[in-house]
Amino acid sequence: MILPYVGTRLKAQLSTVAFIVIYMVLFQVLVLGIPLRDTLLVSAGVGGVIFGLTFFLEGLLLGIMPLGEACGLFLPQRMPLAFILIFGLVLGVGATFAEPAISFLRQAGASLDAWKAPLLFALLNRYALLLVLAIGGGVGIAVLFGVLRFIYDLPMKPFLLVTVPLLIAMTLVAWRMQGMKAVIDLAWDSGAVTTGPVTVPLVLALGVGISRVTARSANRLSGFGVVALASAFPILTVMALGMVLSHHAPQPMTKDAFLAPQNRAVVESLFSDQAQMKEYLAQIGSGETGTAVSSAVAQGASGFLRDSARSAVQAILPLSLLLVLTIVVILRERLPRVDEIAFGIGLAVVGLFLFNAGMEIGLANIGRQAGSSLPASFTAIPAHGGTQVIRNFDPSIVQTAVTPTGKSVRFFYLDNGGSVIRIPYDPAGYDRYRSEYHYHPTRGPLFGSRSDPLGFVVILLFALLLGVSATMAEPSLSALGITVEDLTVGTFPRALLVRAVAAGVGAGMTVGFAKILWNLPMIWLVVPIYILLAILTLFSSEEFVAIAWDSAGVTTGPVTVPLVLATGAGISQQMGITEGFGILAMASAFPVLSVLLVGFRTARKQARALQAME
Amino acid sequence: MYEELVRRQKLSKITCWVYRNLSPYVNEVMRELALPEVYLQSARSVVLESKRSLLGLRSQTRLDENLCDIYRFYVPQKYELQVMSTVATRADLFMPGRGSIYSEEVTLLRRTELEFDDSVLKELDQARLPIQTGFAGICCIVQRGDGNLLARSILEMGFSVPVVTYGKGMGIRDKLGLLRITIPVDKEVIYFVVSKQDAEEVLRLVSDKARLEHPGRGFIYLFPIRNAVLNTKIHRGAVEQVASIEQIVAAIDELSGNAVWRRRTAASRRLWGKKRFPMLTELANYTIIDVEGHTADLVRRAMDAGAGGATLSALRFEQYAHEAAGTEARSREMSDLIIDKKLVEHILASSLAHGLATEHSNASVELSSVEMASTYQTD
Repeated sequence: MILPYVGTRLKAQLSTVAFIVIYMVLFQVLVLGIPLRDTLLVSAGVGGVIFGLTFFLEGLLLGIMPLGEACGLFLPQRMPLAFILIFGLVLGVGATFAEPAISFLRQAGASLDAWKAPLLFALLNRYALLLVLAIGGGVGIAVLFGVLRFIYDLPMKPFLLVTVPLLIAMTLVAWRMQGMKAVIDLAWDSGAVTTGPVTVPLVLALGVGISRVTARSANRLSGFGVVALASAFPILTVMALGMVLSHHAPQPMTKDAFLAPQNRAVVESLFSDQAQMKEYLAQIGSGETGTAVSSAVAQGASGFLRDSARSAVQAILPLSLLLVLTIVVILRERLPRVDEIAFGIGLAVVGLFLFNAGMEIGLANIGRQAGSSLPASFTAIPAHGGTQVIRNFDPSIVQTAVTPTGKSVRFFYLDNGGSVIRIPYDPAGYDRYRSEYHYHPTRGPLFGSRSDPLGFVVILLFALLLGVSATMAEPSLSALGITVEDLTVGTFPRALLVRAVAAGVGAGMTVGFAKILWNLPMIWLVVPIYILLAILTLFSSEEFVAIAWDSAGVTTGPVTVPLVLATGAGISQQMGITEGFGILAMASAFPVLSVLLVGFRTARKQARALQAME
Repeated sequence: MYEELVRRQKLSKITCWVYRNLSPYVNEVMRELALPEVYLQSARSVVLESKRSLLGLRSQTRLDENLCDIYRFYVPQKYELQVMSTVATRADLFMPGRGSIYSEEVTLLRRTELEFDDSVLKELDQARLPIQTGFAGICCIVQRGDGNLLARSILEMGFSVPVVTYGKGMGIRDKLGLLRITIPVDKEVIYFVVSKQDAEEVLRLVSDKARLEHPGRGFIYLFPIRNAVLNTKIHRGAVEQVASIEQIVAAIDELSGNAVWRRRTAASRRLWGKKRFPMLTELANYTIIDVEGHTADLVRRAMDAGAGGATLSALRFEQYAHEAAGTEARSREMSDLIIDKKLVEHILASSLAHGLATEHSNASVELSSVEMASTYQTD
């Protein structure tokens, strides 16, 4: 009895995770030609991810979503409006603090060059708490508005058609302000990051519960839309915070100016105290920026497992407890099927722990490996294996070539077991006394040089497939898909939604990577896309609008975010760009587009079903 | 001793399902008729659709699914035909491919009797009534995911378009403790209508198709229908004649007033031996309708009193008679229990003892007859 139950669920997750794992490994081994390292660790991690996702998803369905739905059903029947609104606000803020993805933003902040974007640096370091509060406040207001919308049964479109122009206007204003350019990227990404694997299913179930009780207009799919608002409002609040703080932050400067003693007072304003500044200065002195992301494995197995466990408990227990207490103490209702809910919450915690741990040593590990070797497709990067030595080296074989600009370049040929390769000659590598030549083997450019677009094309293709395959494994998307399938009695199957969103994320990732490769400003991408989305929204049917915009918040979850940050960071480093922000924002805008398009198709099909008589 | 708590009212229950695009028309009629209680449920209708493959080499038949709404409401028996005719005319159900409507006889047990606006109902004209008789309804409850398989074979038998809804099962599962989570709770409920003569045979065929003789596969039952206008458009695709076969079928149905001419099985020729599917008879459908979250408790009591199990479905409650107050809950839950006729009073007593008709309760019980049923049975 238990075996087939576990078996079918395990198989479902196996197939979603297998896709991304096989893809990443094949890409690295076959396309980039770099062998996989830490195979054992990675396999253990991937196993953890599969079991973790299985447990977590089942825990969501058994424990967390029924809890949210029960809360949604009882709240409007028992409590005055004011209480429900306060509840929504508290839930939103609490959910943000529980969200593990927020810490990714902080990690990204630690590796920033403070002198290039002082305001951004200050936000992520000195004002980190304010930043999280701004994001939490945004989510809180979003849940509040969402609940208000359900209770008065208001349509979704006006909300979006006010919010989206506001977002665009605010972005345009920020664009013209000094030092705000970098904050725009952060703001858009934090919108994408806030809605994670626990918040989304909980808020969805709550919304469906409330609107089952309150919805006045019959025949409508209601209960969606909170997730969408919860991804939009933090963008506004973060930009607002940035604007307020922009007067207190210094202008961008050079590194030398940053380190110069006469600027000490200005620089100090970026840190909360002297000690923090000293630590940072020591860090840039030793050239150790950008290591924060991979530090988890370095700190030892026990500490790392403890961290994973803590973040799993932190993400699930406080929120579940808030709901349980609300139902039992305030609403004085009996919990339906207490044992099932308790078991479900337990499963979710265990699942999230296994998933977090597995993600770090498994999938994110592969992501980092691929990310660091990805630039080899368009440029030369140091290969693994360290310095190579050529014995009995005779400098007379060194030849000279000339570049189109007339500069001479020295090189020699090396017969490397049958294949002859050209190696640039560096006099410093030649050891005259031992007649040895030391060199670092490099890889790439595999597909043409920087001037040849083929290398870039390979990367964009990689981004496209990465987006598609990572999205398939996202647990919150599954939760959304199950909810939609349930409410449409199977006419809008979960697989259709997942495929549409995956295609959208793939396209978004491609554009996001293009932004990094060509260093395009965020505003050129965000403004036209959101104007297009606003127009499409205007012409879409009400029910699809809410689902489509919810997909935006759902996509960037615990599978996609670490993979994107790992691969994005690799490329950013090679391209000499400080921050890899912006990819996530793109990855959440495009699914809206794809789901709206699917919505158009479904509406047309429904109309055709009736016209078929003629 | 609880008997005086509820009033018994003999009514006609009308079930109407239409494609969601047509729901506004039905809503409009409901409002005009000022009906006191209407229950809405989301469902999907399934029809066959022929699609030519890309090169036009082979055509394949696949299932086309569309969202639709099921309306269930009560009217006094004397107005049944007028109301059905009005709804069917306004939603144009006489044209195949838009929806179905049928009526059953039920006894409604509530704290107070339902009140109807006679002045409106009396005014309805009874002019054109191609409403037919001679049908029986079949309801089949299977595991989630098996619905389309059955829907296809029902469509291929060619009676009418089935509708599928989602529900949750209660039964042996709930006596298992936490181990119950290994048995899926999600069910699919398929409703379709066949001609009376064929009903028993279809019941057996579908039981066989769904392999109901095995434990945990599902449940099927047959219920009487008084009048119906059916959606016979079971197939979608290019029509090359002046009238589609469905239109011809509908026209003959209309002329003969029933679907006897469409029967498939001669009385002398039985497809299945009676031994294979021992049918349960002398049954009743005991349906509890209450605010969502409250029926599970009553079902558990009913199961203690002898009921085998139940199917719970989520409904939306609409009051078209007067504007409902702002915060009144719209969510309802319907629990169908198919029980032995002899158990009805016993189970009713247990429901009443556990708060079915207390002062603030909106709950009601609907009793209707079930002709026969089939499921896995232990000897």
